[in-house]
Amino acid sequence: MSSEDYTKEVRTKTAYLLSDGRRAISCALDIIYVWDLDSGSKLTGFSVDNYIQVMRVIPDTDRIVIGDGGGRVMALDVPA
Amino acid sequence: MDYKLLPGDREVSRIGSVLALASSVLEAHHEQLEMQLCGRLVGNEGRDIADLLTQIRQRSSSLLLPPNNGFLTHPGSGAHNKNYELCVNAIAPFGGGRWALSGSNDSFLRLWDLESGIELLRFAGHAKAILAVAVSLDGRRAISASEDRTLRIWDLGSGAELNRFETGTYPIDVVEILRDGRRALLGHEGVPEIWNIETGERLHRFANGGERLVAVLSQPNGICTVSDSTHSSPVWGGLTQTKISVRNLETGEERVFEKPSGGVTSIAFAADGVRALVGGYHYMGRYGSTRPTLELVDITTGNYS
Repeated sequence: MSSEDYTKEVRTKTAYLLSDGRRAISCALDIIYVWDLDSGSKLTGFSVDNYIQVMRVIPDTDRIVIGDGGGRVMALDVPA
Repeated sequence: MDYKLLPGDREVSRIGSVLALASSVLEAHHEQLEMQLCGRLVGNEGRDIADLLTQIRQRSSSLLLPPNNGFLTHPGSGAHNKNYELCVNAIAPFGGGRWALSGSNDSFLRLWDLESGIELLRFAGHAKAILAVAVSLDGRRAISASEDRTLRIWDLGSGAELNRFETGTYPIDVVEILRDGRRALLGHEGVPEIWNIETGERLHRFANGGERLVAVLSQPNGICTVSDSTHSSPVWGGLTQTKISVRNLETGEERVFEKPSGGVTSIAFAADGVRALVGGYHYMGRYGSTRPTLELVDITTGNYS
C-alpha cells in the first residue's frame, strides 16, 4: 500500500492498527488518514489546523490523541 | 448553500464563516467538507447547527469524531496558534484514554482531560523544551526528559517534582517506563539505555552497531525497541535495503525483517503477532526528498502487501 494521497514529499510520522485489525490510521504533516488494509484504499482523511507533531493511540480502543505544532492536544475517536 | 442570501441569520452566517475558514483545506480536499463543519461548529452550536451536525453524523460513517469539544479553530476565535514555543513534542495518554500528559517546547508539562479538552494542571521545572514523557502503569507518577539534559519524576496528582537526574552529554528524546515501575527505557542519539528511575543509575546501555532507534513499543509481554539500519542486499542485486529489528528488552526475543527501500518511522503489530504495519518513506530523486509510505508486512515471511 502506498499513500498516493499525500500531496507533499514527506514521511509518514506515525501509524497504528485499529482494534478491528482491518484498518490503520496514519499521519503526516497536518493530515490524518484512515486506511482499509484489505484493499489498501483510503477510507477518510482529515486536515487539522497545524502540523501534527505527535500521535498516540489508546491501547485497546480506537481513540487517538494528537499534539500539534501550536500547542493543542486533541482526542479523536474513529467510529467502527 | 448560498449563505450570503440570509445575512441576518446568525447560524447560517456562522456556517459561512466556517466555510471561509476551511477554504484552503476544502480546495485541496473537498471530501473533508463534513468533518471540517463538525470540527469547527461543534461545542457552541444553536439548534439549527445542532440538527445539521446530527444529520452529518448519521449520514457519514467514516468521520473522525472529537469526544465533546471542538478541535479545530472556530470562527471568531482568532487565527490558530503558530507559536513554535508551544509545539507539543510528546504525549502520554493514560487512564484508558481519559487523560493525557504532554510536554512542549515551552518547558511545561500539561495534564489534559481529553473528554473536555481542558488543561487540568501545568508542571513547571524544566529549563528547556521537553522531548519525551511517560506515565507509570498505575497513573500516579510521570517521567519527563528535556533538552536541559535532566530527567524528572513527577507526582501526577499534585504536579510536584519528586526527583531529578542529570542525563549526561546528550538530551534524552525517548522515555518509556518498564512494567516494574522502577526502571525506564531511555533513548538518545538512537541508542537505548535502561535506567533505574528510583536512584538515577544507568543500568545498561545497548550497543547499537550502526542501528538507529526508531520507536519504542509497549507490548503485552514487555517493552520493545524498533531499530533500523541500511545495508547492501545480495537478494536485491546489491541495492540498499533497510533491516528492521524488533527486540523485546524484557524477554530478549528479537524479530528481524527487511524493508525493500527507504526508511522506517513507526511500526505497529497486529494482535495476531504475524502482521506489522510499517510507516516510513521512500527516497525520491537525487535531492533526498521523500514520499510517505505505509506498508503491511508478514513478519514470518518478510512479504509485503
